[in-house]
Amino acid sequence: MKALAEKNNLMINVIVKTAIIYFFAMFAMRLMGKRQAGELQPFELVIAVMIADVASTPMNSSGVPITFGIVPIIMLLLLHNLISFVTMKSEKARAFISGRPSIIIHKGVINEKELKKLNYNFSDLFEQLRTKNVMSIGDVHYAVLETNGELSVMLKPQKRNLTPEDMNLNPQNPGFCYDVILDGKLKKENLETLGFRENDLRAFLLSKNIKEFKDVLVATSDETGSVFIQDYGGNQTTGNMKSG
Amino acid sequence: MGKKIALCALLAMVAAAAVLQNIFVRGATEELVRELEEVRSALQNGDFASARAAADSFAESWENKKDMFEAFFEHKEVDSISAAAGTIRSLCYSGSKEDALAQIAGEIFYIEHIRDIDGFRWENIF
Repeated sequence: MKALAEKNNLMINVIVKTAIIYFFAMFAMRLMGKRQAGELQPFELVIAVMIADVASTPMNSSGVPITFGIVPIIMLLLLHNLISFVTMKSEKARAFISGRPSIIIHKGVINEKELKKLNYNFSDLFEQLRTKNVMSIGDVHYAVLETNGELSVMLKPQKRNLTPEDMNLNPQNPGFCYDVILDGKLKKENLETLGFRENDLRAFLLSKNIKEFKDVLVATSDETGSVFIQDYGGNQTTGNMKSG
Repeated sequence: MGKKIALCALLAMVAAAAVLQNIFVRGATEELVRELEEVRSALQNGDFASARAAADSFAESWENKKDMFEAFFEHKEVDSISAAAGTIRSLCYSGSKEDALAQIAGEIFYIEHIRDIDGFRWENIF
């Protein structure tokens, strides 16, 4: 215990530095926005990698002040926001910094020149198509390589999935599905967003022999009142709040 | 809106910290160099009592400022100044004038070097 209280305990220093920098880096990434890692633009990817690198230096070097990690992270965060602002306001800047999407298959025809320009070979193309569940390149009408490296695919009309519109059907729009109970706790604001009240849900639960909200692990609902419930025992039930 | 406020606050903090750091480092290094010059002057005049007192004052002054320097600079840079401060004090007490003067010259170099590291100049960037 005395060793822990020593001012210059190296291990404690590393632990505390790591915790501070971790939370700071997390805060910085949070301020950068909600894109998932796979959808980062090139400048965002650079910043994410650089944050990881600068954060690690004071973490594993006891002689390096913590400011050597925190100040660069702040600067990268500010730069990211500046570039995001500029690319949002100016299309030319966006094209310069992030590039433009490239059409590599146009009306079923592969654009070989574009592939060469992008250093994008056929193996890459086939791989990306397979991840989109497209097994034959002949099924593709348009393929666009986005600035974040993702491939967007539009299949030929006779190859794509049928839609209700194709069959002259007009299905009901269920609207967005919200979680209304999570881990036994009622999420009242979500319920009210859907246009329902606490009593509506309570009455529905009672009709399914569920006495309390706290007996429910998860419950979701949409604007039509359609409800899905699972309790802590793994039992699932569905129904509609409007019809009971 | 909260995000913009947070970003502005961070920018203001970094700017303020940069300015304050610069003010502190300049002021502190000037004071330390001045105290070392007093030690040097006393030694050159052969006044070992004054040299010892000045060396003690310098060591105490450095101890008071060391923690802040460690927050801004790599510790090995700071440690070299600490080591030299101890050596100067010992040499003053032992009466080794020439060695103490040489050590003081080296210490002044370290302190001015650490001030120069903090400076905004192209050499430090590239």
